[in-house]
Amino acid sequence: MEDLRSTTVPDDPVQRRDLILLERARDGDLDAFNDLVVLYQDQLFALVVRMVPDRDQASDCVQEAFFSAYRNLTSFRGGSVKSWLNRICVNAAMDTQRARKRRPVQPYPELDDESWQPPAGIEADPERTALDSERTRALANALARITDDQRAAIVLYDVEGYDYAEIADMTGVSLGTVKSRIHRGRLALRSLLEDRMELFRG
Amino acid sequence: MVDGSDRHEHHDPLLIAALLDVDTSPSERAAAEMLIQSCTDCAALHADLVALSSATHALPAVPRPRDFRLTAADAARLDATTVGEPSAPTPRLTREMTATNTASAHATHDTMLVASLADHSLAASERAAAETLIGTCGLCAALHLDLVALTAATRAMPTPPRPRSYTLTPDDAIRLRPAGWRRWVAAFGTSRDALSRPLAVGLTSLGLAGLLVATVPSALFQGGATAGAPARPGAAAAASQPARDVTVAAPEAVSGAPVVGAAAPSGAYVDNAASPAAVPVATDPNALAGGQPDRASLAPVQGVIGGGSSKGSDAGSGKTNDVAPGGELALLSSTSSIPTLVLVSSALLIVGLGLFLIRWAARRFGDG
Repeated sequence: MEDLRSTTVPDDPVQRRDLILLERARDGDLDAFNDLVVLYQDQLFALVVRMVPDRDQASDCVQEAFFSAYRNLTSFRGGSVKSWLNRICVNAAMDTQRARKRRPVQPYPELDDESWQPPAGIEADPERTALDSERTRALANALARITDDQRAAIVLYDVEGYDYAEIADMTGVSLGTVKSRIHRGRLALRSLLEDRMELFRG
Repeated sequence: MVDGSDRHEHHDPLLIAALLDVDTSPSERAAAEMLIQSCTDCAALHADLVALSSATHALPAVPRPRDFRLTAADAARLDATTVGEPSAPTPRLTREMTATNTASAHATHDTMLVASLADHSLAASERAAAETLIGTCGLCAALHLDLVALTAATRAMPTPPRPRSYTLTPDDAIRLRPAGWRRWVAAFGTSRDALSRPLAVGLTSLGLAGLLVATVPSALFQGGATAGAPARPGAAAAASQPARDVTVAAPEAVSGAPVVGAAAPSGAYVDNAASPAAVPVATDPNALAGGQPDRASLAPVQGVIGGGSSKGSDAGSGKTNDVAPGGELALLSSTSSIPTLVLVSSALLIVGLGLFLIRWAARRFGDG
């Protein structure tokens, strides 16, 4: 088995920790892998739930991504474990999106569930909270209505902070296509929210 | 290090400061390092600059007191003040004046260019064009502001709480990374295994086709020729005998069954794949032992008829055809090629079905 530490010794303590955990997981240490899961499950769920509007499907997708990561531990070739997990999650999310086209579901059902509201601070103004909630609901619905590719590109760029080249690498399309998806997606969002833009203009 | 304080005033402090930049040329870097090594004041200056740089990087971010985004009213106001061109009936159509605030003019503007401006990825020339659009067209400016606002809102979208933990159980681990034979079997069920399924389908199809080719035509023929009288297995013994013996053995081998039904070792098929027809033997009571002339009339002799002749042609194998004493030919089937085809087909079928079985086991016991 390839010794990751022999080839890559990152300066970043987070990456070094991840690599050590991954190597232990490759040697059969399930606890080490579960440590990675605990470290990244929130972030990966946040990524996937924006790409896959249905929360249950997003949850299944994240679980499947961790299964896939565990199954393919030997295919990790160094670099950032976080990026590797992100890539697996993005692929799983895109697979789920393709499957979702065959079985459409209600998008973002949690937004219609009054029991779930975006987190608010203690000192939050009720009016402000209601406005935030309305803005989130409107934007989430609009996001669910643009194409899957556009939504994935926007989430990866605007929310996750990846650059064009990284997104192109993750999604397997050209850099120009990534740019086009982001820009067309934004225009589509604006078109869908044209009547409600006052929510976003402050 | 030499204390060169008296000469320090002649040293270039900018060269020392440039040492902190990553793009300082090697020659400048070497000169600065030489100064630092030779002059204590330069060394102290360098140390101070490094400390200041670190402290600057570590400065805490001051919270933004308010939102600086422009409202649509701001955009309209700025647009009115900066684009003070006369609204003549025939406005000048210079490069600067191609954009106006009318919706019809806006429809000709490149909204993708405006959208690109939001993520700061444009080349200088494109950026200038986009900024010109925004500066001269109120609708483009409003679009740009909306897109910036939407981008910010997308970033600020709250995430629903994670519904459960995704840690793996030991059972998951065993299922996902099987050991021993399960690992070998699981390899067949993975998504990367693009070979086993088409191979299984192909081998199974070939096996079935081979068996059909070997069995069905003779079965049809047998059924038609004997009016439903199956060949008895006991007739197989007679098949190994010369034709003359076969005809002798026929009475015990068959009872109203075709003579050549006994030619096949299994008694279940005969070689008629190459035979265009079954030729009824001209009845010769002497040729049929046991004095059963009417059986001879019932028993067609099936065999390879070379060139379509019924006159003792050998069809190449020369194994089993024979000439009846009466000068008429009784062609018996060749048995050598039949088992080969059947054996090969059976083997292909078994291997194909085995692959299907392994794939099923991979999905059942693995996690393919």
